[in-house]
Amino acid sequence: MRTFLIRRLLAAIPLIIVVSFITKALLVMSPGNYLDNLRLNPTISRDYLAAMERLYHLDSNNIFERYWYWLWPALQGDFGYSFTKTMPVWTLIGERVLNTLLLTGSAMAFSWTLAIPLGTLAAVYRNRWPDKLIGLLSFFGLSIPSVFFSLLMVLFAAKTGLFPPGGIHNQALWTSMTAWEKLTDTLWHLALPMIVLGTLGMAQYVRQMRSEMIETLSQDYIRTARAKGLSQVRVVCKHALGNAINPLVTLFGLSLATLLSGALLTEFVFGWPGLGTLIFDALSAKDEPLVMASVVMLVLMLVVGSLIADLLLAAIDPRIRVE
Amino acid sequence: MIALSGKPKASELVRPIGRTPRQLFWRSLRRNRTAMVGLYVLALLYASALFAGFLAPYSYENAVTERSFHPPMLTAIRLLDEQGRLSRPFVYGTTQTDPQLATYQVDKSRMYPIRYFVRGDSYHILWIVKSNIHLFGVDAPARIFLLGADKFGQDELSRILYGGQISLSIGIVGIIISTIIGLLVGGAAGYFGGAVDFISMRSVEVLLALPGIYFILILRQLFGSGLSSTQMYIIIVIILAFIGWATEARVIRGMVLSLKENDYVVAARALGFTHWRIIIRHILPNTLSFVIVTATLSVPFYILGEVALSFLGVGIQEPEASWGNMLTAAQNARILRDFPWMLIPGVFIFVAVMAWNFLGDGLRDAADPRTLS
Amino acid sequence: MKKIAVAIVITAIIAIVAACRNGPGPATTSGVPNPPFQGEPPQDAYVYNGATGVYGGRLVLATPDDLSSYNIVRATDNATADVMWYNVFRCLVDYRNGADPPDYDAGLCTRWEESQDAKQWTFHLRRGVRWSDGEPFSADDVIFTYDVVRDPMVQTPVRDMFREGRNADGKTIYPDVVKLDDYTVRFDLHKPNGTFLDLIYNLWLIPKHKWEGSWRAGSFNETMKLDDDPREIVGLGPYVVKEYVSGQRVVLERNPYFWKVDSKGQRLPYLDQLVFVIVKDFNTIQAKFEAGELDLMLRVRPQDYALVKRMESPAVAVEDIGTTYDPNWMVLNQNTGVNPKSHRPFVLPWKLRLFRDQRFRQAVSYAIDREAIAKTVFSSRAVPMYSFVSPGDKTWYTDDVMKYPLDPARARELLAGIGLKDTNGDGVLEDSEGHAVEFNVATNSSNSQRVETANFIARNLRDVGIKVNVTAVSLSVVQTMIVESFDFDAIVLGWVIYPPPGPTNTKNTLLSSGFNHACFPNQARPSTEWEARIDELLQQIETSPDMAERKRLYAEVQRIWSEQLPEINLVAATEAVAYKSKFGNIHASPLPPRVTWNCEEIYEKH
Repeated sequence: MRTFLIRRLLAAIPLIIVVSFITKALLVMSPGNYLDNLRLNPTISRDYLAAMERLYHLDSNNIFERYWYWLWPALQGDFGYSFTKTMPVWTLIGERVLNTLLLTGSAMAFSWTLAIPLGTLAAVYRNRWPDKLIGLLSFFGLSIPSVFFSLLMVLFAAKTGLFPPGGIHNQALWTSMTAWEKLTDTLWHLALPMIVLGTLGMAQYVRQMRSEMIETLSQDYIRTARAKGLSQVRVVCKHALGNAINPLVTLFGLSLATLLSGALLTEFVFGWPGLGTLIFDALSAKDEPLVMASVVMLVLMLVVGSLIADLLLAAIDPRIRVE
Repeated sequence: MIALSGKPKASELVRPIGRTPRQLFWRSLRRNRTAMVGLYVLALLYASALFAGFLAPYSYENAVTERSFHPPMLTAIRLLDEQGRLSRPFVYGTTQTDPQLATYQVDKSRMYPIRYFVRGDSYHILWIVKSNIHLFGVDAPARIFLLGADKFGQDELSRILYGGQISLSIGIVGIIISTIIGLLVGGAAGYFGGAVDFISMRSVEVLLALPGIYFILILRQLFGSGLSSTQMYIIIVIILAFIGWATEARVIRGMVLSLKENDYVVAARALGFTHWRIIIRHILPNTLSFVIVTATLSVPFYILGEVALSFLGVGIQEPEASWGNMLTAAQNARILRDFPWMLIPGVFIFVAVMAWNFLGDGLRDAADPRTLS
Repeated sequence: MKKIAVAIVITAIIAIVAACRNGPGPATTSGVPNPPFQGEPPQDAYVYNGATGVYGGRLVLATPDDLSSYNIVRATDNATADVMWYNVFRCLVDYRNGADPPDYDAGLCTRWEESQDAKQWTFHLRRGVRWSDGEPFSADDVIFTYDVVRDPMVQTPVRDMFREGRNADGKTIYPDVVKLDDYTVRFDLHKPNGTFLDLIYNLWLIPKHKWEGSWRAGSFNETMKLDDDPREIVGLGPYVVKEYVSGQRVVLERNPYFWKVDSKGQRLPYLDQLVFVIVKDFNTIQAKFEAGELDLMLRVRPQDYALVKRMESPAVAVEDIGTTYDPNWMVLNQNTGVNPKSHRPFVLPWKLRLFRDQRFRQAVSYAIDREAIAKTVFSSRAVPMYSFVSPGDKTWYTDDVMKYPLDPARARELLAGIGLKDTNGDGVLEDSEGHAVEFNVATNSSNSQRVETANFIARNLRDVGIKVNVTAVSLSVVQTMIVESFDFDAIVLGWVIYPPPGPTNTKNTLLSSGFNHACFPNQARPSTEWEARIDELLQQIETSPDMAERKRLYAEVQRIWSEQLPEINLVAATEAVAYKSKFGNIHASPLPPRVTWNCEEIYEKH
């Protein structure tokens, strides 16, 4: 078990190197740099800008050189200070990662919690109206542009006042809230983004669950259970469900990347201060240290996430053992 | 039900009609009502995109500032004239009462019959046929805004039709490119194995492991500087396809791995065919059904990818219309409340994506032997 | 299955409980300042003679971006400036944006004196003022701040503003500062400068007792970083930084030692807290304001106005603040230079000939329908501009400039006069060598109004036979084009004007040697007579001691600008603010920071 974990984590290292190198290369090759934002300020002189360029090694166009300037300190744990905010990048990222994890985690929980019962229902009442209704719902979830959906939700929130129009906390009152109030306030803010982000996942899982359930329900041991006189509910829940869930766990691992992708757009519209918006801002401002560290963080999250998925699968399915 | 008594009579025997797998496939697809709905809807959408110039009463950048945010006129078409007599369909003229609030008043003194096959803005069909005849229109200076007008008084219906050309074609072009790449890479990886396989599959893993949108953004940054809209379109498609070919490649590799053990491959080698000839002419065609299904199911990725890029500000730019940038332009609280028809492009996106999903789903079920009825 | 059901039920309960919370609780306006004031008001306290308010309350507003640093000397980006200037730090002089017309006021000095030759400026400081940590303020702090700014090792853009040129040895010279006594300083300039106050207004004072050590050790650039304890950030503004959470909020609370009192003897500020919520998207700002989370909507853009105006009620005030100072313009590249790497000229010679021809530029200006742009792109919330000073700037604006009301006939006439004819009947003019008059216009894609304006101009120019291709690129690319690469034909962009308006802050745009002189920056010598004339006038303005004289000269610069069109100015937007009417003393101004310039005077009514 331990060797398995170590091997997986070690295998992540070349991945990180490759991805960070490609990112750095693209950053170097793209036109302009961070200082361009300062150039349009009429009071900033050329000398000052030139000095800044030298300081941040932005004057060289050699990709390997620029990569090395980043890699060497990074290997020693120093990922540098953000250009645009004078804070160490890990401090910035740390806060944001938690927010993104909260969002994606709850979206995942939302997808699963809804998908399993809905998929089962659709399978059990196959081709009857519950199945068709759930089918339509899942097609809806697959097809609606997340950006569109997010915006409708923000407007819904603004018009009805049932939910806050974006953000993660009530900023003005946060520090004076009790712990319980903080929890409920965060959940209240979390509700809509979670629904938007979870809808796509839910749609995918529902369809998968349904087809798996259909296949499982046609198995011989199910007929045996029914013949033995067990109630429908017992048959479905106790015998069929466990087997049908398996492939879903695999799907979980594969869909992590999509989830984090979708999180960017959702965070954007809802003003959720997560890793997605951080990377987007960093990219727009060409804040290289921040982009590099964020990309590394993203890859790490994915590696750890798929590792968890594989462990979960091994735990659930006795046929799979980690070697 | 088999009669328990004696042999069935010859006349009662039903002779089975043999069907090829392909016929079974089509039969299964046609039986799937949702899939057929998807197919018809797509046919309609793509046909309207092809003939956008003809169907649209105006060009996509025909602006009239005095008609800014004009409401839709679809329900304003009248069949009964002043005296209550049946007449050819017409609309009343409108005047702008307040430019800032964009309110309009109907002027019953001016009636504009809807004419057919009118001459208007010129356009091209498939870059070859040039024409300026439009399906319908009204006499100048009136305008017919079936689905309303945008901020500059440009007809939304026309822009939706022209926008469809871009948004819908991005899907087709995208899957063609990514399928070709996926087939070649997957085929080579599965067939040759070794180093080719290793590098290809590691690249696929990298691409699949990472959230595409970040790389799309980073790549897009690379091409920041001034591009014409055609170049922008090509770059967007290439960037999306660059992320999109990975899934297909991986599964094709798996299929090729098993297919290459077949006898006919051994025979072909013995006959001296080159590796690539074998791959392209003998192995890959057997992956066809899978390829078609995956490609169909990938089209939404391109359509929605274009929407996402437009939303982040790095997609097709004005004045060219794409459903993505039209939707982005509508994302303003005031517009959504006062001028909700600006959201109609979102509906089109939704319908197109749904249709592709229906069709892809149907194709998958039809090709899957387990769900044969 | 049971476990799943239980999980669903629990989640549902939590969600319902959470949803029942109806938003932020009411803010308490107690009438008692919390945090309380410390010490006594200074003997020379500034007495605010406007409407008095009551203590307590909190103002919540939005800022579009994170701070970049607390170090006010180093960081001058908009987001940091909006939060840290005025609120946490102050200068020797104050600027009253909301006054009519906006003008300077005594700040940390009680009065200032200008010598006859405008070469000596004496400032008398307020006695008894304390820093936000309780230490006394004196002339030493002013001198310290100025020393830090002048230090070449300190990375600050402020230094170059004070630059007066080079002396005989080639070293850059700056004004000298002399400490006359503990509460009087004098700046000795080498060249007369009647607008010296404009520079002093950029000298945000920092405490000597806190930062002298780091500065002498050479580590000033690393001080006041964002991850430092906010209590270390000591300033003379009405508020101090209480808390900063990146991506979310900056919370400022009362500076207990602030040095202003009102006419009743109550110390300022009235408000207990000023909260900046970081919201990047304008639509979200509007949604949050409507939901009541924000108390103030600083910028009601043209496209939002109709909707926000409908929110007007006894509880919500929507105020039109008039025309902004920010000009929108289009520039045609007149750069005669050559790309040092490729040795090709930046602009093709035949295009350059046209762009450098005043008649061509004027023709383009006549062809542009500014009124229609104001009506559609800016939803009728903009006015046409014909020179670089917006009509909103009541101090410096002159109406006596050359105007270009829409006149396509006149445009065609001028173009024909240059020799441009449509020889092949395709609707596009050609020059005598057969080149079709076609060029590219770049603008920044993130600003939808700019893109729409550029497309509008393209349509207008098409009507007079000029073909224009609009490309929308990222802002950094456009900026690179203007200040570094110069490889463009035309650009549509705008400037943001910070106070004080006038010749000091526009120097780099107007001077032919200026690096923001977009049509042809960094010229060693002016390439045209009119550019030489403008340079001369600006020089005279700087050294003139008389305000009336400066205005007259500046008016002449505007006239020349409108005739020669180095930038073809287009429109200036009108803006509005919206705020909850429970706040008093809000005097909004189109100059940034619009509302918080008098943050110490704002109060929440009971």
